[in-house]
Amino acid sequence: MAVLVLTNCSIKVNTVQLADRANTVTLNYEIDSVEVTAFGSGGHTFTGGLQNNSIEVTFQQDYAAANVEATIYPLVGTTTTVEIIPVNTTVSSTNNRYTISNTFLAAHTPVAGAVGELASTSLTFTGGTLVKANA
Amino acid sequence: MASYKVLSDRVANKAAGDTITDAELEGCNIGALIEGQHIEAIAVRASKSDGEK
Repeated sequence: MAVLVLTNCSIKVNTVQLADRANTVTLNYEIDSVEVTAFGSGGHTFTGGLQNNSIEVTFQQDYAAANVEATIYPLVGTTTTVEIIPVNTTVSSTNNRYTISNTFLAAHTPVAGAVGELASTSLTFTGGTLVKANA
Repeated sequence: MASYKVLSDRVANKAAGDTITDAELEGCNIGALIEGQHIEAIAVRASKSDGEK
């Protein structure tokens, strides 16, 4: 696979497919750097600690039954699973599935937008454990 | 093992009317799925023998 223009991601929040209401997504995979510098070291040295992941996603608001608002509102203050696939087709070594389990949603904006703009909600899921799979 | 009826077409790998188990929903917030009208619990009818005990 060459470079990719994101046009058809799969975004599942709490096993609910919401990609057709999303227009931005960012998955941040990070490992805490834990300092292990000791006497005699010539510079700072680090080792890997805990995963420190987050997902930022923007949804176009939809108040219909079983849609964005109905799905997201009950998740605030809880943990869930979020799955992202770059291209919504068969998962493979060139199209991996990224799943974060036990990720926490702290905030949601049920109503947000200016006059004449599309209502949207920007969410940040924090924490959890990321697994990358190719099957 | 609890089972749920799928109500929406947005639940991964399921269609409305399908059944999904709590094992398939591992890691998910089942309460939020019920509140969001994606699934509903399937009532388990007590067997006749249960009532005789």
